Amino acid sequence: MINVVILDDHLMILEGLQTMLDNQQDIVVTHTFSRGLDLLKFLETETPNIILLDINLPDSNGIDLCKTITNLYPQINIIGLSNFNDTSFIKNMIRNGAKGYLLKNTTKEELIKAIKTANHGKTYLPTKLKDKLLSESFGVQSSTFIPKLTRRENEILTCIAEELTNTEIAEKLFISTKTVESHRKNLHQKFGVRNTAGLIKEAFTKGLLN
Amino acid sequence: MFSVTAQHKEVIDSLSQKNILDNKLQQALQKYDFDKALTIIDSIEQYGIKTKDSLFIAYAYDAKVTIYQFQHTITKAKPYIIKNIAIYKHYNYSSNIIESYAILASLVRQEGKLDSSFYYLNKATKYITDTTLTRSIKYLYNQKSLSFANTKHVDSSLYYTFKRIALIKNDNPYELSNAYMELALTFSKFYDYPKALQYINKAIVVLEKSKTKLSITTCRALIMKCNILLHLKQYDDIEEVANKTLEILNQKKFPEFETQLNISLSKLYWNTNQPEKAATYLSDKHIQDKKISSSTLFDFYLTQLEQKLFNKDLNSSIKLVTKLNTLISKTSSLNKKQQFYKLSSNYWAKIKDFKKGYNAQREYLKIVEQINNRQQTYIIYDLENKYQLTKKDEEIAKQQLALEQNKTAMLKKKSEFRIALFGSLLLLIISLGLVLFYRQNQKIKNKQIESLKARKKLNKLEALIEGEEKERKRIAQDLHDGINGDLSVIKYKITSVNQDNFETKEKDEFEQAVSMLDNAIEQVRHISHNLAPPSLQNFNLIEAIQQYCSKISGSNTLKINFQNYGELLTLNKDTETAIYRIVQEAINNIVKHSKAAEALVQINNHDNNLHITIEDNGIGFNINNKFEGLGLKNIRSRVELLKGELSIDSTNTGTSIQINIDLN
Repeated sequence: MINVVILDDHLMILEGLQTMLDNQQDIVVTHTFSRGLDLLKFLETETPNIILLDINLPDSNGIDLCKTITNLYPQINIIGLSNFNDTSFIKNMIRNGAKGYLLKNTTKEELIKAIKTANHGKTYLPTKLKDKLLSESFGVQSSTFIPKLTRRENEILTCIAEELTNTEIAEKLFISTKTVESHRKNLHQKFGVRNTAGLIKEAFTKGLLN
Repeated sequence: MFSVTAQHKEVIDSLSQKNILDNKLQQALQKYDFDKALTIIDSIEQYGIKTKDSLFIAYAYDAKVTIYQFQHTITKAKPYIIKNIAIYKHYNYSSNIIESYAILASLVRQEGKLDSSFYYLNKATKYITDTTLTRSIKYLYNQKSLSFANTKHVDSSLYYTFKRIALIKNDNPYELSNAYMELALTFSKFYDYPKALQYINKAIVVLEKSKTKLSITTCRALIMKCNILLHLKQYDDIEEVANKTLEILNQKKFPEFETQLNISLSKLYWNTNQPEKAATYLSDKHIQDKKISSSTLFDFYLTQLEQKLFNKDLNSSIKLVTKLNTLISKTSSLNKKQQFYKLSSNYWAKIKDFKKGYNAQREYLKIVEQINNRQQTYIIYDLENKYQLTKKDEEIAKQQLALEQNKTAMLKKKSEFRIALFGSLLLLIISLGLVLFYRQNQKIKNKQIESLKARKKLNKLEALIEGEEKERKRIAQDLHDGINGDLSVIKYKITSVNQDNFETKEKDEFEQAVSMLDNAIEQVRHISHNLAPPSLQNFNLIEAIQQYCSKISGSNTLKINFQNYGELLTLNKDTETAIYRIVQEAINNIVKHSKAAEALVQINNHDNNLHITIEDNGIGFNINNKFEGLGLKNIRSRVELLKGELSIDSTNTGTSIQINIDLN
């Protein structure tokens, strides 16, 4: 039997989730809470298997609460439950020890699957959210080999290759030396180099200069 | 008895003394000997101070102003005309007050301060009474029409010129021809050269019929005709007009007009492909040691520059550019200034000094903008003036009617009634005065309010944006926590219905209903996220922008690359929100208009110098378009609030938006 506790400030959601899990033989909702503090107090004496945790709470933040609970009671598995679908929320919840993340308009099947997976100590994410996370990380990866430069940075890179000083570049492009300086720092970071020599070398090898 | 004669003698003495001085002054003025005239004026002033005759001092000042105006030294003329206004106000000489104000208006107009010019003209208008001299009113109308012409309000300008012409008697060819010339000038300013030609011809006809010889005016008119013909490209007629002018110039020496004629002729030959002939008229010999006004000199050098630049004579060009640069402050013609900056930017581009070229180009654009702006700014003035004028006309008509009725009544009744009438008239004048005073006060207060309003504009903008953000947040929260929560619950309820006894059709309907619910939830989520991005509230700016970029990349053909370099950003929520909105608007614009396939968003923070770049490889847009989209306006006002600098470059291969914000 999996003991489930739900924390959500939306009473109808609490009720809805409970009805969805009503007829399950191996899952039982033992308690529901609408405030984070009440849940923490309850956990001092009892240890449920699963907590369904809302992120948007009136008295606390679900992401921080998740960290607190997993630190205090590592044996409890937490599933985040939210209307937010931004990957930053998912990542932060998982980073803080959550074993799953569901959107509030989840289906009964998904909910049960998530609870069962999390109960085994494994992480469950709906396919849609998984795809989202994946495509995001791909998007970043694809551009790491040759760093993408802004037009200004390209201009400055060419100027550096022409052996112009900061003041000369500033004069040529009608910008302040301070701005030139910060663009140079950027270029160093983008190419992962320490100085101008490294920058020019990298730019040549990557075919950005000819 | 003795005292009476002594006083009498003094009066005669002072009168003769005044007459002597006045005579001397007139003689000096007729000989154009201004230095001598100025010393005489000084002694007039001294005499006025000695005899405490402030009107005589005012007379001296008037003469000074006239001379300074003639010499184009506006700054010297201004203090004297202001003193005179005070003197005439003391004596309540309405005609003189009006004329002085009108002169002041003309002086400030020549300085380019058009709004001040209108301010003084409106002040002058208030002093018009039944006893005001026609001359003063004509002068005032003249200045009004000139000021309106400068603001490119051709209809108002013409209105006053025609009003003035109506006041001119037919036997005054000087004034009549001048009025027609002014009309010609006005039409030229608005590029309606055929009409300008029509009126300059009228002026010339009047001058030819005149019994007295008006050589100066005739010269001016003929040269103006030359210039109008140049614009109309009627080159064949110009030589004839020029010959007529030369006839007059052979009898009397007017170096100013000679130069002007030379300029016109040079332009004529230049335009008809006779460059060598054109150059002979612009030889520096023609202007050596001659008294020529700065504006004519400016035109002279400008024409030279145009030709030398075309001939790629760069050595002469740089000399001309320097000369023109020293003269430019003394010329008031925007079109000439505009032409100069255009030519000089060409010059700098030719010698590859792009910085100076850029500066000249910027000045050029500034003037183009000035020309455009005036029109907009003064539309309000225009309406107001017209409104007040029609009201004034009605008032005068009413007053006249009332006076006439009173007259007939007066004839019937006896003279005692006259006293009563006089009393009531006096009362009327006093109350009118009070009303005027009150209005004046009201106007000053209104002006103060205006300036306060302008200052508060920024505060208002800030409050507006803040309010907008608050409201967005509230709506987003309602949508997100309220409606979306409820929708989720509805979905739970529906899906917990036992479906075992459903027929296939019912099952289909059921599944459709559930997926529609999911759709609705997704939409509400989308709206609420756009209204108030949750990552911004829960995490930070970089995270939020990252999210936004990947969301757009995921749902559009546009692929956005987001990069963040430099030190960690710590900003307050308001600033973060403002920057987020800027990026959001910029990306929205790219998605909506640019047809770009790729975009780059980069946020760097080095030494508390925040630099934001948003670029795309789309089709670009015209940055000079006056009708800026709402998106760009929002970006602008937010950058303004953050005290940042915004620069936008756009070509047909892409747009680049750069924002610099100093976080210190």
